[in-house]
Amino acid sequence: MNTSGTDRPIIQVQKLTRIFKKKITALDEIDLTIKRGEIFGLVGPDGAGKTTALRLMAAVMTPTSGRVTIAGHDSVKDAEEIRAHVGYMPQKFSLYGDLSVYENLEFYADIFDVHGAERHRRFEQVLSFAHMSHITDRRAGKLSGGMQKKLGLACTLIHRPAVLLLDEPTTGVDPVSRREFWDLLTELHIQGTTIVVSTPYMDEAERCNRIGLLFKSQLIECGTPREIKAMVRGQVLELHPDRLEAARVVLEQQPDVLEVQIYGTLLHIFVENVAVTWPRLQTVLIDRGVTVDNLRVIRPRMEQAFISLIRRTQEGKGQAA
Amino acid sequence: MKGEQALFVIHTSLFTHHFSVIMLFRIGNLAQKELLQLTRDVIILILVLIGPMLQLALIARTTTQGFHHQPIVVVDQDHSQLSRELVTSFNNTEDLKVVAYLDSPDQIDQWLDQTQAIMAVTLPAGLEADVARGAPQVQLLVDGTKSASANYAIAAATGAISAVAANQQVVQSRTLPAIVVRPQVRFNPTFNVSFFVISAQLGFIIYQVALIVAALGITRERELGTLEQLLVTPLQRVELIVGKAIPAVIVGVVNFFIMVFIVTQGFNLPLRGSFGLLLLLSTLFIIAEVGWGLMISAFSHTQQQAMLFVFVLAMTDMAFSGYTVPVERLPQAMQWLAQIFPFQHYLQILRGVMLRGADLSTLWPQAVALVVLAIASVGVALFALRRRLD
Repeated sequence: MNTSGTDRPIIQVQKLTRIFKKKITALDEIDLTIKRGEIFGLVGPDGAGKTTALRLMAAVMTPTSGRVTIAGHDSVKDAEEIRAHVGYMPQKFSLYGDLSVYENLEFYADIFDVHGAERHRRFEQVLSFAHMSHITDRRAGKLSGGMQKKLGLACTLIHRPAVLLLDEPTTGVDPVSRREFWDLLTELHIQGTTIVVSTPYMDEAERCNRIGLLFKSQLIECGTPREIKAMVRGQVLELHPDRLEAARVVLEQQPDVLEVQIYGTLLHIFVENVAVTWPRLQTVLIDRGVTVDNLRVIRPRMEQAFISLIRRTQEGKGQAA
Repeated sequence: MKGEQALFVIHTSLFTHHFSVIMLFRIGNLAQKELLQLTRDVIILILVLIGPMLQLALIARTTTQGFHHQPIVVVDQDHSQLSRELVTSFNNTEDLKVVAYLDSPDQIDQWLDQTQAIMAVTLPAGLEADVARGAPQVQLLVDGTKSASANYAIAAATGAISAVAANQQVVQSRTLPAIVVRPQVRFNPTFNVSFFVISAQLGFIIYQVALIVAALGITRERELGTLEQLLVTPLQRVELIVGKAIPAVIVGVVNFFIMVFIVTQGFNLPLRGSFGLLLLLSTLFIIAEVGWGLMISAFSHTQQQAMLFVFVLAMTDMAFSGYTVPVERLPQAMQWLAQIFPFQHYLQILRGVMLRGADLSTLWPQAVALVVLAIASVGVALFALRRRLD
């Protein structure tokens, strides 16, 4: 864990709301505090409001109500200050495909007024950081998807932002490149950069210091991955029934089963206490002619926690955060 | 956290905001990047440089050579030396070709109806004698549905008749009456229709190219997603607009040079006035049109949308330009509306300088109009372009 990061907040989001065309609420009174030097993950299904949240933080969009401050600068009034301190990589990030790797970097360096000896030093830094020093002449459009994302990050870093806002930077990238990209983020994190990243991938969410769960324009939970996983009620039992659908229907009807999730040919069932509940469930299943093997108790994973929390919210029986 | 009030002031004005050398540098950087991208994009290059050249050359060629050897029929009822001379003179013009000699005017209709002839010339009996008496009459019957060819045929026939008549006058005694019709065409002594068409095309092509480059400039970045990227840079709205305008203006001016070279060298259009003045006013015109292009850029979400806007604007501009319909013949309200389109002012300048050798003493109203329109269009584009995504 990063020792330079203190608990001082760097991004403060207060009752942030954004309504499109007077009727579509993309973000509904979000409160959020992000601490200096942390990697904060915004997770949630498509359409939950992740992109809107990041755009509002990056000061490229105006909130309908509420406010965002970054290092004390208001995103509406002091947008210029925010631009100087923030690096923002939109989801649809694209480089100028007809320009070379080097020319893309040069353009962003020009615009951010990075000149003189410092310019050359930073080029070398970001290029070696992104492992691209050997292909500076290649057209950006000819790079692989993963490479393009890394070049995008390099361009975003040219002005040394203290805060990085990344909107699904690894969507559509192969697993190896995804890992490499996250290694770069970890390196930046160690250097003290605050990173806010949205992601649909649960393994990435696990790598964050804290995560916020966005669902239907609202922030339903916020905490460390461990805390989020701990929010899942009860224990998770993994089993392999011979008749998957029948088993699911039966188990969902049981009052002491909190939740049933399907994973391929496996069922994950959430119960308060395995030792108490399972013997009864087993007899019910046998009654219905379902045989079960590969039974084990597992620790809830991020993905399960995520689905569980969303379902709880949807059913309206979740305790309000 | 709350001691940042000073930053408020910075945001109140668009123009005083960070106006500095750095700003000029950033504009230069953006313009440079745009030009670099233009050179990389082969299709755009063809579209903005080679295409216009070919288009102009093609139009210039067809308008200068399209009306040769038009078929006409002759009804010679005079059978005199003069009538034979006239028929020969028609054939001698490269423009007309007598395809049939008819015995009676009754036959004319069928030739014209079947569009086998564009014009019928009737030389009435007693023509030669009438010349001596001073009241010669020749009837020209033309197919008005092909107005361009018809005008051209009338001009050619009138010219031929006048030439013969003038000759007659010299041969015969000087005391005889002068020629009845003596058309005198100024500035375009050969009454060359192509001058009119080519000059309009020249202006139109320059304008289209500048408009397209400007209209696609910002829209392309929006479509690619790079505009969102630019929004988080220190790049200001003014810088974005000016930086995008410069490459479009450069492309327009380069096209202007090429086009003027082609029409003066390849198609013998005169350049009677000052080239420097023409260049200056053309640049002004290009800036005004680039402003329109940037406005389109600010409103369009996709490049296709921008291209459609360009197309619609070009049609409107063409309609109000005096190219197809003279502006003076439009209803009063339309005439006022026509004033906001730079193209019609520019056409007057272009024809004035090239064909008449006019200077600012007569062209200043158009020049002033262009200055006003340039400022207005760039200004509107500036305010139409949102600094944020909304």
